[in-house]
Parts: sequence; C-alpha cells; structure tokens
Amino acid sequence: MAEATEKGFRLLTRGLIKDNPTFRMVLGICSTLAVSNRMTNSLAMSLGTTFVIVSSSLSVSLLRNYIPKRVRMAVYTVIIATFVVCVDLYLKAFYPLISKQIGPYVGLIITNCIIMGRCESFASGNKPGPSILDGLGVGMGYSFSLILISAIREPLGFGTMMGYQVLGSWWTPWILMVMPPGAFLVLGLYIWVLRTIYPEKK
Amino acid sequence: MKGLIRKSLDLCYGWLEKSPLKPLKPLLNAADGFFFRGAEVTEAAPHLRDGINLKRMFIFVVFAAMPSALAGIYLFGWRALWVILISYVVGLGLEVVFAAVRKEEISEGAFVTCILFPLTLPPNIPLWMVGVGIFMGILFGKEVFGGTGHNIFNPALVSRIFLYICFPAVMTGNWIRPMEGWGGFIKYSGDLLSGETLISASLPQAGDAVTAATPLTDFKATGELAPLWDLFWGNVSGSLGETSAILILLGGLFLIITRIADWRIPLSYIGSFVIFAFIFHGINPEKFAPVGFQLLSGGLLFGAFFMATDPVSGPFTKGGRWFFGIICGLLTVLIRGVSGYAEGVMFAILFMNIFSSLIDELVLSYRYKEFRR
Amino acid sequence: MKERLMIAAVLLLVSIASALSLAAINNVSFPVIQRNQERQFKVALLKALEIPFDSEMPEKAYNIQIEEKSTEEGTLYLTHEDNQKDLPVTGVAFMLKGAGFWGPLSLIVGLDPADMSIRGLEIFEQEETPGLGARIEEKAFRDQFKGKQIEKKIIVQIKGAATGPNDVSAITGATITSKTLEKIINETSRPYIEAMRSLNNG
Repeated sequence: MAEATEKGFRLLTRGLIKDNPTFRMVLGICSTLAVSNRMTNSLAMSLGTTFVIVSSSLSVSLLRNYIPKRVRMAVYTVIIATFVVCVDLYLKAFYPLISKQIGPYVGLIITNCIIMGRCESFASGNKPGPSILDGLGVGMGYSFSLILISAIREPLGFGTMMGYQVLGSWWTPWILMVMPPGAFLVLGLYIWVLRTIYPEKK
Repeated sequence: MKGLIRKSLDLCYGWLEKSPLKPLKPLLNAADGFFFRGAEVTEAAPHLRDGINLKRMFIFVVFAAMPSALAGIYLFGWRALWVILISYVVGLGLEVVFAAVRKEEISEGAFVTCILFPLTLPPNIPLWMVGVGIFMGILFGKEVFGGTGHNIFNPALVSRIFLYICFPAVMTGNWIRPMEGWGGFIKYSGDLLSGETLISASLPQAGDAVTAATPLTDFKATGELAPLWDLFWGNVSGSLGETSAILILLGGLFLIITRIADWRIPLSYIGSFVIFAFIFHGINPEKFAPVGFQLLSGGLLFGAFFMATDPVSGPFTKGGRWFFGIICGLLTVLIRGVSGYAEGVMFAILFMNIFSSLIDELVLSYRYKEFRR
Repeated sequence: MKERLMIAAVLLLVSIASALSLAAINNVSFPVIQRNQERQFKVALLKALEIPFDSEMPEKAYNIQIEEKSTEEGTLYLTHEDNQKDLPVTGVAFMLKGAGFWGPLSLIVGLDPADMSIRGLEIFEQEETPGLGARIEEKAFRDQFKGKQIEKKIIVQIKGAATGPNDVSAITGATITSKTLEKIINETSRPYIEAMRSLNNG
C-alpha cells in the first residue's frame, strides 16, 4: 500500500519541476505566452487546462481497451475538443470578463500538445487511477509555470497583482511585459534558472 | 608614472592569484588593458572575423562617439553626462558579474555598447530607465547568447528597443528643445526638467503635452519640415547624440579612416537610403519626406556609422556588407514612410542583424561554389 | 472487415456521445451567453447616452428608454422625452466600427440631437495594446469627447496640447490608436448623421 501511495505521489509531483511541461519539455508555449500577463487569466487558464487534461486522461484511460490503434488520435481529439468546448461555454456563461480577455486561447487548449501528449504516452496504457494522478500532476505543473510567469509579468506590466495595485503610483508599467515577447524573456529566464539548478542528465 | 602603475598592477595580479577574490581577475585585466592597451590580444571571436585588435578597436569607437556625446551635453545640459555614466556603471557592472561567473576576461564590446546606447536616448529620459535599458540589453542582447562575439543583435539597439517598447510614452513623446548659446555647458538640464516629472507624466492621464516633437514626428503629424541647416548642426530636438549630423560624420569618418568600421556598410546604407527616399518621395511626397531632410534627421547617420558597422552582429563578407546596407536603407525608408512609427533605423538594423549570418553563408557558398561540392 | 467495422463503430459512438453532451451543455448555457453579450452592448449604449440604470438589471432601463430604429444606413438608438415615443427625441446613439492597431475597434457614440454635440463615447470592442492603446477605454480620455461637435472634424492632437474647440489630446505614446479612433469617428459617422436628419424631417 505504502508503495502504491508513494508511486501516486511521485506521479502527482513530477510534473511540478522535474518534468514540468512548460519549463522542461517546452510544450504548450502558445497559450503560456498569450495569457500569462495577468494572474487572473493565468488561473482561469490553468484551471481550464487542468480540467481538460484530467478529464480527457480519464476518458482515454477508460476507453483504452476499446479504441482501435489506427484511429486513436482522432478519438483523442474528439474527446479533448469536447471538454475544451465545455470549458469555453462555461467561462462565456459565468465569467464573461475573463472569457473576453483569454477567449481565443481557451479554444486553442485543443491544440495544446501537453494534453495529447499525456493521452498518448500515459493514459492510453494505464489504469484510470494513475492516469488521473498523472494528468493532475502535469496540469499542476502547467499551472505552476503560468503562475510563476504571471507573478513577474503582472506587477511589471501593470503594477498590479490579481487586479490589486501592489506597486505604487511611482511605478511606470513595462508595456513589453504585457505583450507576448515579455513572456518569452521571463520564460527564458526561468528555463535558464531551472536548467542551471537541475542540469539535464546526459 | 607608467612604471608605477605597471608595478602596482603586477603586484595586484600576484596577490589576486592567492586570494579568495580571484573571480575579480577580469576587472584587473580590464584595467591593465585600459592603461597599456593589453599586452595580449583577445582570443574571442569578433577579432577573428575582422582582423583588428579588439582593445584598440573599442577605445577608438569611444573616441569617435565623443563629439556626439559632447554635443549632447552642449545641446541638452550636463544631465547627459549622468545618462552616460549610469549606462557605464550598470553595463560594466553586469559585464563584470558575467565575466567573473564564466571566468572569462571582460569583453571590450561593453565599453562601446555603453557609450552608443545613451546617445540614442531622449535627453530627459528618467535616469533609472537608462539603467534598466542597458541591463536588459546586455543581458538579453548579449550574455544569453554567450557573451561578446556570439550575439546576434547589436546590444545597444536591443537596449533601446527594450525601452522603446516598454516605455513608448517617454521614448516617443517627451522631447526638449536644444539650448541656445553656451547652453548645456552651463546648465544641468533643459526646460522639461528632471526625469522625476517625467515618471508621473508617463502614468495614466490623458493628454500630456508634448514639449517639442522631433523633426520626423513633426513631419509625420503635420508635414512640417525642419530647416536643413538646423538639422546639419544639430539645433533640433532629438536623441542625445543623434541631432548633429556634422559631428556624427566627423566621428564616422574617423572610424572609417582608422579602418575600425568598414566603409561599405555606411556607404551602401546611406546610398541606398538616398536612392529609395528619392524614388518614394517622387511617388508620394505626402508620406515620404524629401531626401535631404530625411538624410539629416533622426538616427540615420548615427545608425549607419555606429550601429550597422558592429562587426559582431553584421555580416563579415564584403558582398554581404553591401547587401546588408542596401536592404537596411530600403527598410528605413519604408518604415519611416508607411508604418505608424516616425523612425525606422533601429528596426531596420535589428531586422537585418537576424539575417547577417545567412547573408554571409550565401555569399560564401556563391563565392566558393567549386570547393563546396 | 471486422476491424474496420469496429473502427467505424467506435468513432461513431464517441462522436455521438460528444455531440449529445455538447448539445445538452449548449442548451443550458446559450441563453446565458446571449444575455451576457447583449447586456454588454446595452450597458455601453446606456452609458453613452448618460442614462442611469441598475447595474444588476440594465435590460429594464434599456427596454423602457431606448427605441431601436433601423434605417438604411444602420440602426439608430433613440431616447424620447418622458420615454414617450411620440414626444421629441432627446438622445441618439449609434455604433461605429473600424480596424484598430491589432484587431477590430468599435465604439458607441451618444449624441444630443439639439446641437449635435457628443454626450458620451463608449468603447465597445477593442484589442489594442494593454496599458497603451487600450487606454482609450479610460474615462479621462473618453470624457474629452463630451460636448464636441460631431458634424465638424474632431481632431485628436498627438502633438502639443489640445487647444482648438474640437480638439482632443491623444494618449501619450499611443499615436496610432488615437489617430485610428479619430479616423473612425470622422469617417464613419456621416451616414448616421444623414439618417438622423431624415428622421427629424420625416
């Protein structure tokens, strides 16, 4: 039992730093660059993406014995797209303001390689339990990186945090940090730091 | 005197070898190089490409930029000196840190970057912004690529474009008129004083007044043309070191005569600029200003002589240099005329920096077709 | 043969399941989403005409006070004295559209038909640079338009202070967005003004 718990824990946490999808595998960059300029957008995007990863991993894992090999990608895409549209409609209906800001990028969760990657490489060969944990772990890793990036971009770019003024009126906003190129710089710095602390094993 | 410095430097070398401060050796090397122009030649890449002793090169470029820097002080006050000093302190500080971490010598490129960058700034830029700009420019323009000789872009222009995109209000909105008579040599700063008022001016409040637009912005907004004579001497509002055409020409010619800069790039750049500006002005005089005005205004001359000639980020083949300059000229004319920006020199040079190695590659493979089967 | 049938069956089933669940969710969320979108427009319109409303229920004020009048040139939104349709018109609003720096830019202009002066200007849709062009949404900037004559050319001054009677100061650094706004207002409002005239005469 202890062994199983430990394994589950490892599945859950490895996405945070060691196999972080954004910083280590450099996947899902499009949405990372686009939405991470405000913390609220990042949180919404993180929750949405994590929901999609977990639920599509679960579905794929449940269906794994019935999906024919030759059309598995098509089936995955249909499953993922279904959940993404759910998230999109949900945001549009209940959080119109957030939806307006990150609108197009919610739809683009479908093309986020992280999700397809988890379905293909993990969920299709594992039981539902571990697949959920794995999806949750990777989703948390993605969320973690989004939060880290917007923790730098929002204060520098707007002088705010979660919409609250944290830097006084003396602060001149750095417009570059609001725009996607700013995310490139911040993302690059994080990757630099992480690669220096945890060098890649040859 | 000279012997004394030499002796104390040698003493320091010996002491440093044993002390825990060993990582600071690059700093001492730089001091050595400064006083004695370096006994040994740098082994880094750019000199391989260009065949010029780097230590001599950097000091010459700084000399060449001196007239423009002095003009900056004369026209806009002693505050210009602070802008330059801060650029040096922050830029060299960062360079020392990286040299120490990487256990390399301090590269002389930083000396050049730190003088060229402030000369492209508006005179009343807040001082902290200068520091931020040079820091980001050297970090992202040079160090992340592996230091001098490995950078793709001209670090001085990276610094400037960073500020330009981050703080457009300050970088494009608030210019000051140059001073009259003895002007800047007896004054600290121009009329729109101190960066402190600027900081608040750049914060949300609709409708800040622009004190004095640059000639190019003026043309873009109203179609007015500044007198050529003023542009030639530098008696217009603009960046610290970019207003006086005559002084830039002086420095530029010095660079070319001493063979620090290759004459092909400025010639092809300015030449193609003049030709294209002439053609486009003929087609649409409302959007494209007359040639003489365009030639002398903005950062064209400064960019052509000091920025485009950077041996690291520009091409090194002769044919490549011609091509580089010609496309830069065309892009500058187009950006000035058609885009929303009033000035296009910075964008043109940075854009062409991307293609430098590709251009070289093409030129070489064309030249040595037979050997490259 | 059997394998092919299996593939077709799985694909069909997955697609049907996906379609059904999405249809169900859409059924629930569609009215909410539609209300959100209309509400956003109605709020902007009420604000442009300076009509007070209950922010929980803007539809109420809108239904009572606004008359939609479609003309050949486009829809005019009218308010009448005492909200009686046969009494004189006290306010007219219409929507102007154009291309902004990054994407579509649309705004609602509210007019006082007595002297053809602007009552209020609301930005309905914009994708300008946050912190720069997007600042056209700020009240301080928009309020400058109040009282300007729509029939004369409105000038957004990017150089020097706004001194003329129909001048407005641009947002510092956001020359392009400011000038685009000027262009949209001056060039696309003509047909609506014509429509208003024929309304008054007819």
